Amino acid sequence: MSANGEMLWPGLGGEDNHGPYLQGGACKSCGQVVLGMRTLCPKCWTADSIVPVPVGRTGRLYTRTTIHAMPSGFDQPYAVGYVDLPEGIRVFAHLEGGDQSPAIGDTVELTFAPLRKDKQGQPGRGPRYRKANMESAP
Amino acid sequence: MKRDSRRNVAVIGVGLVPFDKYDDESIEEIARPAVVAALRDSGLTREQIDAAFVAHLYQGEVLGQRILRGLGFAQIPITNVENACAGGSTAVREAFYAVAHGHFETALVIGAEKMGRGLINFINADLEMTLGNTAPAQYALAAQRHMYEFGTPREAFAQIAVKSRRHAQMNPNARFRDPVTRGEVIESRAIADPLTLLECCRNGSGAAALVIASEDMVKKSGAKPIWFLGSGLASWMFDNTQQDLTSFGATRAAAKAAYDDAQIEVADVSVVELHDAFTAGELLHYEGLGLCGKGEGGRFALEGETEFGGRVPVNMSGGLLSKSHPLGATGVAQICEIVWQLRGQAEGRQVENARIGLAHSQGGTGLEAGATCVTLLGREP
Repeated sequence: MSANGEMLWPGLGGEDNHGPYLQGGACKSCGQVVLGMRTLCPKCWTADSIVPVPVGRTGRLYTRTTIHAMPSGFDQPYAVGYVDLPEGIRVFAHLEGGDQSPAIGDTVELTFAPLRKDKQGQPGRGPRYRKANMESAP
Repeated sequence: MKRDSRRNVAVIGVGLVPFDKYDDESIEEIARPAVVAALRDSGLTREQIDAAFVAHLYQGEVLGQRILRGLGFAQIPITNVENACAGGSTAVREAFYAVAHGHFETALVIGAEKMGRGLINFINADLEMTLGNTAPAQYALAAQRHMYEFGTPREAFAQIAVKSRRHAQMNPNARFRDPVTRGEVIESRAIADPLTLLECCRNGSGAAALVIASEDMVKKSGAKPIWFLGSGLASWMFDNTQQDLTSFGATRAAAKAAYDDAQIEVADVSVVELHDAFTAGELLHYEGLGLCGKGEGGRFALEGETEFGGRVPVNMSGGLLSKSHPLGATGVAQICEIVWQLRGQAEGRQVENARIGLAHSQGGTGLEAGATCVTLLGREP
């Protein structure tokens, strides 16, 4: 995908004129919004009714933790959380660490970042939310 | 299942192979002594066993057949059961129902697992696991939200680990028996904030077995019965939905089903074995089982209500935290402890006048999809 590596999970999301987004799907039949593309709508069971929609550009942090006991492919502790999206779904994602790491209840915005190395040591990218900055940073 | 639509069924034999590493034994070798102990405890012969229900997660094909072929069993029907960490309790439930409905007069239940080290590697890594989520992190995420919503003090989680070791000191079958202090728990190695190493169960290997029987067979055997009063099984499916993570819906649903089945109230329960894979889980399950109200788990843990001598002692065996956690064996071993408590055989840790016991176990891939099983046992049918 870029010099920063492939997405860790195929079809996870991308970037358009409005910035990074997660790949969502909306059911043409009942309007249900889901994370990722599906062959069957989980609500109305209509087949092949899910059309792609971008989701998750912003959200609100529902809960968070910092993982110290790491699976393979991570070098240092990392912050993760569940982000509630205005589209009505909740996603698991990484969070920016350090002093600016978002707290529960904060409004957050999506970025993509290299998160985890594969067995060959190649970085894989995934969603990492940061505190939304309403005044644009210098 | 309504009580008046089934026969009375009892546990008449229990056997436990205390959980440890067992690096040099095969899973079959680990499991067989549990079967022998349960049969001897029941007084039945292997020819009197009508069927077997066998729980495991990672041991490959037809584990039950592999265990029992080495013990001289003939052509009995054997069902291998998988429900992640709730597999053991689910096998108990299936055996209970099969006897209750008259399919069999007796059944053997086995839970057995040989585990490796470190974080559990799920066979089918989902999106969250791929992004780096872990089992302890799932519980940490629930704990953090609980602390945020209810002001739950961090010490409440640590106190559960302190209690676990206090109880384990009284149980020769527990693996980790040294006492710990709240400070030691909080200062131990960070795993996923707020949870530390002493707040996470370790992997272990081991086995447990039960012999269960219809009322007719109980009378014929002369064994001391501990009766099934009720059972509840529930699931939760987190499909990127915005549900309340401070509340394990499946625990609530399974507990309600079991209380309704048994026609008892939570206040009737004298002793509990609960799925404390993580201290955070135990605190949340207090609320889910109705032992205390929603949001009150922290206070409940800190006030000693669930300690030996408290109102409703939880995990007198030491629980998963002090015994370690061989996945398929855990739910069956919980029933062993409840049976010993209700028989009055829990030497050194006997809950006085224990009449009704509850076992709760839970499994799944993180919080994404899972099963919870609650079993109620009593001294009288």
